[in-house]
Amino acid sequence: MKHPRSRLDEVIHSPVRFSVVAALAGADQAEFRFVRDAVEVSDSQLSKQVSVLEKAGYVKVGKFAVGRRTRTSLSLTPEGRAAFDAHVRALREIAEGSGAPDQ
Amino acid sequence: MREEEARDALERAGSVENRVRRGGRWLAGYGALYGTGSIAVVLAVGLAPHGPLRTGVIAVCGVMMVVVLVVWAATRPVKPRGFAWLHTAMIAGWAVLYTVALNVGLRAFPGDPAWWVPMAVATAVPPWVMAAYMLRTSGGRA
Repeated sequence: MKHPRSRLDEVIHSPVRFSVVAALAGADQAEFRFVRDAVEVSDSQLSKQVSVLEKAGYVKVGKFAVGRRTRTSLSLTPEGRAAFDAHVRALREIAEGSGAPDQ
Repeated sequence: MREEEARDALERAGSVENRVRRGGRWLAGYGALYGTGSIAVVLAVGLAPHGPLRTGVIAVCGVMMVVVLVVWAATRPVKPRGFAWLHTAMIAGWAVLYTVALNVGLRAFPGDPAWWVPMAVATAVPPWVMAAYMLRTSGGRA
């Protein structure tokens, strides 16, 4: 049996990206600024990480107008949600000490 | 990755996820207001004194309530999990009860509180159930 470490998602594994995906897992859709505040990163940091997640097909970025302002919405794709769930399962197994001993 | 690192990562993720889930609690307030507004509109239609302005005043109040709630909902920064399904189910349930309350009441029970009061409360049940569900689920997982 492979160690659960081998099932960790390379894209989500980065701490900031994992937090962004975790934030989006708690909603159908969230505004960019809300995610930025929840994850406690700067606009540029979040933009960079969202681009990586979007390229991987995990996050969908949308624009919508509120009055004269344009806002950015973020949501997880079904692939992103599945990847997050699998990543969390692997982390839980590691946390519970399942799999081969760590090297 | 060590066990402790995995636990820390899960804890951080859980904390962020819960923060966003709590951001979706506005839907509970929306449901509570929608239900209360529905009671007021149904009681006004069924029990308010008859007069030439009655229909117009009630119609304007009803439209204003819907417009304010829809604009408010559209500008919330978080759409909670299952929002589309929950909202559609709530509106569908409310529309059926509202239609029955008004169609049957205006024909068979004009001005009769024995019909209008319970039916007004019944129209508030779908939005209030949605509100209760949101309050229960928006605490987030540990």
